[in-house]
Amino acid sequence: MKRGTIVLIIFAIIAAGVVGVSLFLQNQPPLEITVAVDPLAEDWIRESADAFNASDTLINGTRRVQVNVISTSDLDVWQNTRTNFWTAENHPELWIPASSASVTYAARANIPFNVVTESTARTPLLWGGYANRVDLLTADGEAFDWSQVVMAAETESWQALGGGNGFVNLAFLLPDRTMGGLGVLLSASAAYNDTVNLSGGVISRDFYDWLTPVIDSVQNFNTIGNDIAQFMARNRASVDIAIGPEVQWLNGLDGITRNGEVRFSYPEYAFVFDFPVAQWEDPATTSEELSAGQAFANYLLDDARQTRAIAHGLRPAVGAPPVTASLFSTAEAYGVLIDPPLDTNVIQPPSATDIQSLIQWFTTTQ
Amino acid sequence: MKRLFILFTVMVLALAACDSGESPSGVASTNGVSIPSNAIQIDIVYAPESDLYMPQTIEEFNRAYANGTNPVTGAELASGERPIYVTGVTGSSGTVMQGIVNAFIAPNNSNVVRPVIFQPSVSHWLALANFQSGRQVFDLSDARATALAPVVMAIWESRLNGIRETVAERDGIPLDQVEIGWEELLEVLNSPNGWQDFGIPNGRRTVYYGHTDPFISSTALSTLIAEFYAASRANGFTGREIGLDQVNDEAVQDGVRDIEQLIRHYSSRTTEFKEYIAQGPDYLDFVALEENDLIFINLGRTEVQPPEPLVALYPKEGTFVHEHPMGIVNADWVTDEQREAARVFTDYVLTVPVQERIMAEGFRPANPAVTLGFPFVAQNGVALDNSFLTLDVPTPDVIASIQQSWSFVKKQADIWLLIDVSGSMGEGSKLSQAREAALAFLDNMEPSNRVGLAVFSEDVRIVVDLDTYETNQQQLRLQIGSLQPEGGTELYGAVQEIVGTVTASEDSDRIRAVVLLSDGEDTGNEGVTLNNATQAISASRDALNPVIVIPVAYGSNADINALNAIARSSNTRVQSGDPNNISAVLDVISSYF
Repeated sequence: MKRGTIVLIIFAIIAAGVVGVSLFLQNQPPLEITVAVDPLAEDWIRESADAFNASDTLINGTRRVQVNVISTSDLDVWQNTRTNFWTAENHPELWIPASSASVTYAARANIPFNVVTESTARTPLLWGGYANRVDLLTADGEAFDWSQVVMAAETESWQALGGGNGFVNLAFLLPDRTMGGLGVLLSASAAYNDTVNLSGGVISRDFYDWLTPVIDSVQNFNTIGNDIAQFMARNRASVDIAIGPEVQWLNGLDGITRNGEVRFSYPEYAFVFDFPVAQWEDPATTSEELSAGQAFANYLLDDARQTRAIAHGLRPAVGAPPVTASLFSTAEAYGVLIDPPLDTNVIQPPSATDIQSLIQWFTTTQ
Repeated sequence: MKRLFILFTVMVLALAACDSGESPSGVASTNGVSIPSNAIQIDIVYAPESDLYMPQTIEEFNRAYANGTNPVTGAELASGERPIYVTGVTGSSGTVMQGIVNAFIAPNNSNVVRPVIFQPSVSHWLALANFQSGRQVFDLSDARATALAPVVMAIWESRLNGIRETVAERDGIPLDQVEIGWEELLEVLNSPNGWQDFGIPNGRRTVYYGHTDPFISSTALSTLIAEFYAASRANGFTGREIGLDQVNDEAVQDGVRDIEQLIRHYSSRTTEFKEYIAQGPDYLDFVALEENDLIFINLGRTEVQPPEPLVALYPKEGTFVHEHPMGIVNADWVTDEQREAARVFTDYVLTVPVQERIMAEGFRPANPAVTLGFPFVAQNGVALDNSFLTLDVPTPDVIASIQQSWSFVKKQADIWLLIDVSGSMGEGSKLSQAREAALAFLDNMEPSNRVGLAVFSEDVRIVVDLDTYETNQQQLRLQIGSLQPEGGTELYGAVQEIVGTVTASEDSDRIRAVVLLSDGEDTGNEGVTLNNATQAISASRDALNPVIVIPVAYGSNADINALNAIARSSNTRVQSGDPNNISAVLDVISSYF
């Protein structure tokens, strides 16, 4: 046998072995888990999932995990009109809603999610408005908050408030579709009732009457979309003042400031989106799935991921972003605070029954 | 040893080629881009103006996927990530909306459309689709804006300056504080000397305005809603959003009729109006257009170059911004993965490079990350910010009601059908084609329009007097059906006489038109020349409602030059009587009224 032939045979054997092992490993499917995340944290979670997948994290020392991300508004999960959105046969393994309250409301609807991490990041509701309008509301030293905004909405025209032409145009996200919008109604309720505790039947006819002018001051909820800052940036003429999640304001700041000088202000009572991690747990849930879910939840809390959350405009789960965080520091000039008081005066959402009443009222009012 | 190395290299390459990675493999091709065999295929019907950028956008999107790249992220396709393949066609927003509604409520209708994405000019159509179908065909809050275009009045710079200076002087306010809207435009109309009272020497007594059909065109629908707002305000309405009370108020309807009195004629398509107004201030004073259309004209892209710049008037009463939303259809013909793919395509349209391309075509970018730049410059006549007043979008039932009101607030028309029955029309099947076309034209006639029938060969004969179509439709149909060819063709004399009849009638509040169906071969011996005929038409140009003549040519040997001259004298165009496209031609003619 010639030397070349021998080399050829040896190579063929080695190649076959390499291909075999490779095929064997490729055929061991990773454990796939799906994470449903509210759009407010979607960018950060998608980036984190990519990084997690690339890290080849092993469960039980043997099994790779592949995290897939889908975007799901909190309200799609638990709102009564959307029952059976997730079923025992078709559901994500993990859910990162915008608010912990959503897990409570989902449990009420018999959707079996258990919180495994209380919060992975935070972002509060924040007022934003063009300086030429906001300054009219705060000229006498009043705070840029609900009472002045409601007063402006009742007045209807800027001329009557001592400003230029045009109706008072307000904006916020759709409350019957997004947690960002529903949080606005809760923020309003807290301001009207002067309390952070909304669990005691504070959704009343008087409150509805008080808030109606604000709803009427929104030109068209349907065209606002899912990002309040983007909407304000591209519709200078359709919105003077808006309230929405801080993360959207921070990411959309450039676009808005191109339209004019802007002012931000935190409502007295804070509504904070806290992005907990909840795990689907029913008899069919495997221990591997639980381990994989917990591994990803833990991964989101490590320093590198928390730093990336800040880069996306979210606040870390604990503490404040560093003063060097560019999105936050840039916005400081307009009223964003590096460390606002988000641990006191935090709104406690109402019962599932009250929240449904609130949504129903909005749906029939708008 | 060298041979061994080559052998080894070849085998390594062969092994590499055995990798079972999922690279897309083409099975078909459109626009030179292969459709990956595992692609999720989606289709989009988009507004006609989006044709300026959408084909290239779709092609680049498809090409990226065909090359194994995610066009949004620029990254290689991940394991398991399926490519997406998009096909697109244009469609008038109103027609497509009705086609989608029909897919639910009248699936056997000839107009049924079942796209994955519908991108109309404005979200009014998505709301109307939901309203008319009685279901949530579109989730409006998830229909993202992709290109922004305020509806403006494209008005000649000299005209706008004339109004501004006159109002500033009259009211004693600085020029830059003068606000102009429908109120001032109506003032010009109602002023004894028209434009001459507003700083235009030798200007016309009347004002000529044009807009398209609100059942088809987004610009027209938004304009009509804006007219209802303006008329409501003029009648004391101070609220934010008009409702059925205002739409059904007779005083408000009269106000809208007053505005519609400015109409010279309507048109089905914005494309036509871009060419019409480019002819200059003698033809139209202003026209409702999307801002991008105005930029298109000022960039010199029309066939006719405008004699002076057009500028955008953002009416002080407010306007609408067309946002070109990506409406993803909720229907059983759209799968979840197609829905997700539609979102990815929307993401792509919103990327900075695509948005910059869209802006280059005259649309304001929907992605705020893109800074407003060329062609948004002062010399193109547009506002360099977006601080114009916008109107609240009424609820869908109110929009539908406004649309329905069109038939009784629009400007009515007096239309003479002038049909050539000379012997030459008997050659081939020209006369029978003309008869069929005339009858088809009457099929869509508004009952309140007045229609008359005249025929000519060696002389002109009025067969059916002008009367409301509601009254004389039987007679018209009967007479048209019995027309026979005979004698010579006194074309020029016939045009001169019928135009004379029209101009001699009261210059009322109606569009006055002659639809001429002829082969155009004048063989008359009465001594009337083409020049006489065109002069008769031109003589009415300064009237409140100048006569327009729309020739329809029959036969391959039609005297197109003569018919063109007749058309030009009232700034219309010759239409072909070819039976293969008669439906489209009738649409064009009907849309004048």
